[in-house]
Amino acid sequence: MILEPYAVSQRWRFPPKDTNWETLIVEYLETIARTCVEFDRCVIGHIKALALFPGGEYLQVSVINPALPAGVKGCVPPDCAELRLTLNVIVYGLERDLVERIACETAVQLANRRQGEVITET
Amino acid sequence: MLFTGFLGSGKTSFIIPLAEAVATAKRRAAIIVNEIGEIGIDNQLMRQLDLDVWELLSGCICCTMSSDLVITLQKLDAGYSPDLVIVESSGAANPSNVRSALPYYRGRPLQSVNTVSILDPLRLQMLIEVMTPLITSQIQYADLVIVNKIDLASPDEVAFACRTVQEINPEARVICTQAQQSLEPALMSELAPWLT
Repeated sequence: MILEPYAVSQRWRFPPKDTNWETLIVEYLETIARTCVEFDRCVIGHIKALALFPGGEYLQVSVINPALPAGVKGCVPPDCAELRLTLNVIVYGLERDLVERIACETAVQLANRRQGEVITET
Repeated sequence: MLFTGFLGSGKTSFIIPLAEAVATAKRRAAIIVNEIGEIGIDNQLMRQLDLDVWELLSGCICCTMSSDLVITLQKLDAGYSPDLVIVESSGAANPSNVRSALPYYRGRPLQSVNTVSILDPLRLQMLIEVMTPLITSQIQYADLVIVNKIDLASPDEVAFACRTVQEINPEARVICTQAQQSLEPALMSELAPWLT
């Protein structure tokens, strides 16, 4: 089984009062996981994301199986309008280009639906 | 101390409270984090928690980065003098290959090398079917096996995990638990008896 990890930094921006960041990032990672397993011969290794904040807070979300709830640790400070997210998608059986496309398209769809913005940093 | 276990099994969740307990006891713990992705996550989180972290990214210390592990251990010995070195291997690492790199280390002699394997009982049955050599090696070469996530797993899944360990590595000590903010005393005395 091939293993081609995908890692990226993203900046997410939303109006602060409208955003439940934990729910958003959980939905993002769970959607990536569900989309990946639609392909045959794929085993989710670990899909995880981390956002750090200047006050020492952090938000970590982890998905290992789309059928199980995501693990969430930490929290986002109040009135946070922008979040810089490190995303790791480690999936056996899928090529990196495909994983990248899934991660990017899912992010854009999620951001558009909630009138926000996501920028993938290279 | 080498932590091994498949991706998402919970290695970081045990390493953080262990390193914090070492720091609380005024000892020095150095953590070497190996992640196969180009941008690490566990290393960033540990640094945010004020732990002392060295990262080895974009490869695996059981193969392409084994010499990087040895070099990092030597740098630690020369410049940091830790009481405990915790190596978090990538979830794709074969611990036997990682340990076979250690004879090339040329620093002060290591007092002991222990391998701790973290198992996720929720996925063990599936993983052992599709990734038999990797999962078997992570059990076979462990001194201590932690069956994690017992709060989420069914009794049957936990029993299967214990049975599997017994079949593959009957010599290994086994603890069934769940990762928490601080390590329970029984686990602490297994991981760092010199602290208890």
